[in-house]
Parts: sequence; C-alpha cells; structure tokens
Amino acid sequence: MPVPSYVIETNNLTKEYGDLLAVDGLDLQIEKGEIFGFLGPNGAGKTTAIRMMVGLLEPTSGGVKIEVKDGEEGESVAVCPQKLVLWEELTPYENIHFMGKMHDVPRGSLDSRVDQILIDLDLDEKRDNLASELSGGMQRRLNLGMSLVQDPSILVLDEPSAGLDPQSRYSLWEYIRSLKEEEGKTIILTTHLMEEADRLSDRVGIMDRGKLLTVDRPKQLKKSVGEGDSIRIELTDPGQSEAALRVVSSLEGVLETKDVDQGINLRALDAVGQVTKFTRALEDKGFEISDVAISRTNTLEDVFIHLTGREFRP
Amino acid sequence: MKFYHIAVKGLKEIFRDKKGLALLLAFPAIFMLVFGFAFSGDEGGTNPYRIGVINKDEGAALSVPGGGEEIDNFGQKLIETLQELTFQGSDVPLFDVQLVDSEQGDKLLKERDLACVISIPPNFSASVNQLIGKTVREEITRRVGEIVVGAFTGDPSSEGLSFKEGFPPSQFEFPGAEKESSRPQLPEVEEIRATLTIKGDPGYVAYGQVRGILDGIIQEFKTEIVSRAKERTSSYFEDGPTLPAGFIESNSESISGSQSFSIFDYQAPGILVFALLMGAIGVASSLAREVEEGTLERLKLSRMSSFDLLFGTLIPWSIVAIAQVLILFAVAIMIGFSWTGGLSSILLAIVVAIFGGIASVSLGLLIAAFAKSEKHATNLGTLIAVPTSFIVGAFFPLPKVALGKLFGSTFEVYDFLPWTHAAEALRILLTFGGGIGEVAIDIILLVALTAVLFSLGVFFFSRNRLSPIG
Repeated sequence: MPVPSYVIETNNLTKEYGDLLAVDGLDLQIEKGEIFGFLGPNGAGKTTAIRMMVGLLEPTSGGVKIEVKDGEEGESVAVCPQKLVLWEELTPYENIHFMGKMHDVPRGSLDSRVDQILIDLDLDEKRDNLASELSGGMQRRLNLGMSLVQDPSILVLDEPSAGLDPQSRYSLWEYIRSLKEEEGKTIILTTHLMEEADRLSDRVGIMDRGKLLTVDRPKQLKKSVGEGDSIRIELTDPGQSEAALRVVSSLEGVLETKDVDQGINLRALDAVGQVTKFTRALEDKGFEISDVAISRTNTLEDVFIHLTGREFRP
Repeated sequence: MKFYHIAVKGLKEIFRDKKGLALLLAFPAIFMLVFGFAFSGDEGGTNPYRIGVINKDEGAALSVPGGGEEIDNFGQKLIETLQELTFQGSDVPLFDVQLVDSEQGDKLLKERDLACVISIPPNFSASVNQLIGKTVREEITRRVGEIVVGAFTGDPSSEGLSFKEGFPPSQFEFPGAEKESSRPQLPEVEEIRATLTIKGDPGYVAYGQVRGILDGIIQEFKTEIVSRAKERTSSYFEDGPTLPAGFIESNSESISGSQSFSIFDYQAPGILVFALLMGAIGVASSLAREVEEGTLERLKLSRMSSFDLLFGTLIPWSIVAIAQVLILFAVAIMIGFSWTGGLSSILLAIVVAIFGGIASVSLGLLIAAFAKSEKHATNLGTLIAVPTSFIVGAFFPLPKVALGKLFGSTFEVYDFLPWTHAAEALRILLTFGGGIGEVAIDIILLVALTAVLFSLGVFFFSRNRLSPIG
C-alpha cells in the first residue's frame, strides 16, 4: 500500500479568543489530491481552522506545514471565502483577470484561462456585465472562479454551496469533483451540509466546539455508528425521556440506546418490523409518544449524534 | 507592477460608481460655493459698509469775512466726509451711507441691512462752532503771548514773529467774535457738548468693524476742524517758526497685493486646504471597505505588498484630488475670487494644491491602517481631518510654537504637517503675489512630508492589515 503524501499537516493547531477555545489542538494531515470535508455545525471552528491553515490567521499555538513545489508557496493555495468577496463595479471577466494579474499568472495564458473559467462556471454570457448585476448564484460561481485563476494546487472552499438552490449545488459539486479528477487539485472544504460532505468528500473530519472528533472516509464513519436502523422516538413530555430510555434498553432486539436532545434514539435490526413493539412497550408503561421516525441507513448526522450525543443543528 | 493593476482596478471602480463620483466632484464645487458666499458678503474686505445716518443737526450761524453770517451744517459735512472716504489704495467707497429716520434705522439694523446707524444730534454744528471758537481763542492768545514774551526776553525762537499789517482786524472772522464792537474781540466760548450716537447690534461682526473705523474717523474729523481753525488764525500773523503740531502719527497700509481683496479672497487658500483635507475621509473609507468586505483578504493571498496596495490606491485617488482641485479653483474664480500675480500664480497654486491633495490621500491611507470598518474610517477621518485643518492654520493662525530654525525660517510644531506648507504657499502665491522662489521651500517640505506620510501609511497598513490576524 503506497504511503500517502500529505500536502498540509497541522500540529496541535490552537486558536483562543479570550476564554473561547475556537480550535482546540487540531492534528490533521490532508492528502495530496483528495477532497477533504470539514463537517460541523456553525461555530464548530471549521473556518478558523482553515484560515490558520492558509496563513490568514495567526494561531495561538501549534503549527501548519504546507508541502508545495519549489517556488510555489503562497501561490499554490487559493481560498474561496464563504462570503461573496468580489469587486462589484468590475465585470466577471475583470474580476477574474485582476486576480490573475495579482497572482502573476503569465500574460500568455491568462486570457485563455479566464475564458475557460467563465465557460466552466457558466458565466460566459454575463462576462461583461457588472458583478453587482449578477444573480446570487452567479456571484457565488464568480467567487469560486476568482480563486481558480491562479491554478492552485490546493483549493480551500469555505461553505462553497451556501445560498445555492439544489440544482446549482449539484452542478457545483460536479465541477468541484472535476477539479480533483481532471486537474489533480487537493480540495479542502468546510460545510454544514451532511449531503455535501458525504457525496463530495474523500475523507470527512467532524468538528464540534473547536475539536476534531473524528476523521475518516464517509462510508467508514457511517459504518462505525453500528449495524441496524435508527429509530427516534419523541415523547409528549420530554422530561420523561430518561425513564423511557430505561424501558427501551431492556427490550429484546434493541442494539443501542441514547438520550438525544430530550428524545430517544435507538438502533435495532429490522426497525420497521419492530417499531410497533417498542412503542407499545412504552405506551403500556404510561408514556405518551408524540413522534416516531425511522432511518434505514446511517447518515453522517447519525455519526455526529453518535459522537456528541446531540442532534446536528447547522 | 502590482500597484499598476490595483490602480487600474481602483480607477474603474471610481469612475463606474457614477453616484459616488458625482458626489466626489460635486463636493468641492458645493463646498467652495457655500464658503465663497459665506465669506463674500458685505461684512468686510473692500465691499462698502452699509451704514445709516439720522441727521438732526440744526446747523449754526458762522460769521463770514466782510461781515454777515451764514448757516453752516457740520452734520451734513460729516455725512459728505463719510461718503467720500475710500478703502486704502482703492477707489472703492468705505461706506454706503443711507439717510434714515429712527424707526427705519432700527428696522434695518434688526434685519442686518445696516452695520450701524449714526445719530447726529441737533446741536452738532453748534458744538463744532464752539470747538472752532475755542481753538481760535487759544491760538490767538498763544501767538500774541509768544510775541510779547519774545519782545521782553529776546528769545531768538520768537524772532520774525509779528503781526501782519492791519492786525488786529476790526473783527475776527470766527464764530462767537463780537461783531458790533470797534474793538477786536476774541470769540466767546460756551460749553456745548454734542454726542454722536453709533447704534448697532453688538452680535453683528460688521458692527464691531465699523465701530472701530468710525471712532477713528470722528476723531480725525475733529482734528481736521481744529487744524483748519488754526490755519485761518495764522493768517493774521507773519510767518514765524512753526511749533511741531504732533509727535506721533499713525498710518495704516495694506500689505502688497491685498488692497482690493474681499474676505473670501483672503480665506480662499484656507478653504482650499480644508476641502482637500476632507478628501482623506473618502480615501480612508474606500480602503476600509476593502477590509470590511473581505476583498483585502483575497489580495493578501497574492504576493502583494503594502506598497503595491497603497500606491495603487494613491494613484486613482490622486487623479480624483486633481479633478477636485481644478473644480475648487474653477468655482472660486467663477464666484469672483481675486488673486494677485496673474496666470503663473494661479497655475503654481494649482500645483501646490494638487500636492496638498496627494498629502490628504496619503493621510486617508494612514487612517485606513487603523480603521476597522468603513464607518469607523469615516468617523476617524472626520476626527482627524477637521482639527488638522485648524492646526495647519487654514482659517486663522495658531499661537507660535517654535522648535528651531530651518532654511533660515522658524520651524513650528505645525510645520510637520504638509498642509501647513500648502496653506502657506497658497497664501504667498494668491494673496501676496509671491513667485516660485518664495514658495520653493514650502513646496519641498510639502512633497517631503507627503512622502513621509505615505511611508507611514505603508508601514502601519502592512503591520495592521496585511499581517495574519492575531
């Protein structure tokens, strides 16, 4: 098995803001040519972590090592910020072209590169309109295009599909995947969308409250939660969930139980066949059930719940 | 060369933001118009002061040579004197005199249509008559006394003093002299006191100015009457040594080139500097917007230096400053700005103002290094630019705080600011008609201090905004 080559390595990377520990001792290796997804709710520390990784933010302690080709440092890492960062009085062409000039893209290749990006991101028709006149989706694509003109080997995307409609989101995912597959770029993305992290990332790091909880391939992460289906039962009186949990735990066929956000999460084989048995057992003991939900396959949300004991609230 | 790309981007942004550009260009025009009108009123400079006069003087009978008498009205003479006065070295009348009654006068004073109202009392001529009589009496007795004393003592200074043939005349040609008697009589003098009242609004600047001028004029009017009475008395005596009439005299003279200026003309250089300093706020806001909107963070990832960013920002904003300077001058000239020294002076002044504008752009860049947001930059810019305009003496000189000598001139604490030299050079060129030789040092210091200011901007911007955030 070949030894993976890391392009970014962090060592106990920490950022404190007064009493707040925004990133808590992050140790991480990003492999060359992979799409790495930072998944976590808002405030988990994802953006802070990547800002330190690309040198925009001074860490309180710890370090970052970026492996790049000679003479490439700085130019080889591009960041596409979560916020739309563009010059509204310039056209899409001018915005991308200006960033190319600033990154010293050779004059001979700059024009063709800008043209190609405009075509790839479906902005060619609006190339001469002012950025302020573009739709929100187009502005977000332009935001990405401005990060690509320097042809970086590492591309950091901070919440790339924020504010996009589902169709635009899927197109964007496809494009991001093509950047990896066709151009061999290493892509680090932060997201609070389970589906985005799951479908796009080769590896996912789940962050919560500044800590990196786990890193693995999405499939492995889901597998780690355990066998069976997931059933969530909510009671009319959430205060009784602890007592109800004790009842459910003793039932035959229940593999795992958890009190999550004043509801019961349990794992069982053949959940559909057994759910009536579980709910009846609770009702017989006087618990009033308000809602029942069954998930046949594990999701990254289940992983998050499994790791934190809390529901994932973006 | 990255500064070039930033400059091109900046120019596109400035010129495409039509509303913003219109405001940038309208600002100096409106600014100069407002200040121009505010300072070009009739409250000073060489515009005549409008004053009202209530002449209640009843006149007085004066004896005339050869017998008889005529009625003279010294109130009317005072009015004529006021009407004839002009500004020093100019043919512009000092006063625009309007004859009013008491009620009219009060109304016009309240409306500030008049700077003051002079009320001449009914006994003004009578009082003047008595002043003449007193002067004649004193002068004749003095002269006669000197002849008598000279005859007794042989005082050489009284040599040549003698009566003219026919002295004493049958009657003195002066008011108050006994006319019927065959013996000469000296004028009888009564104490008649007339009080001229100068009424006005103490809160009105023009009143204060006119009050001072009128006090001097009335004193001069009195001195003139006394002097003429003395002259007429001397016609009865042979010439003798003249006693000195006065020991101290004063004369006011305007400095070169400023004789026919209005207050606006004096203030225009300061107004220019003030307007240019205001430009710093726009520059600071524009750069702070790059920080606030995150575009600076994008640029930070390129190999851009602080110099690239600030020099690239300086170029388009300096072009805006040049346009603003041209508009400021054009509007000033349009509303009647007069300067000394012809076209070369104004062209040189435009160059100085452009450097002053570039200094303001540099100040804006420095402010942006400390501003956290666009709003913060605007507030901080105002807080710095407005007091700076006063510190550099745009409107009035500040107390001297000398630090030492430089090129033979006293170097003040304010001389560390480039606009001090811009204001100074503009005044020398436009108000006093000075040439390039007289402003060369100010221009050199202006350029050097602008370069220092820009370097400080580069240093602090690099430290505060381009380093990784701590």
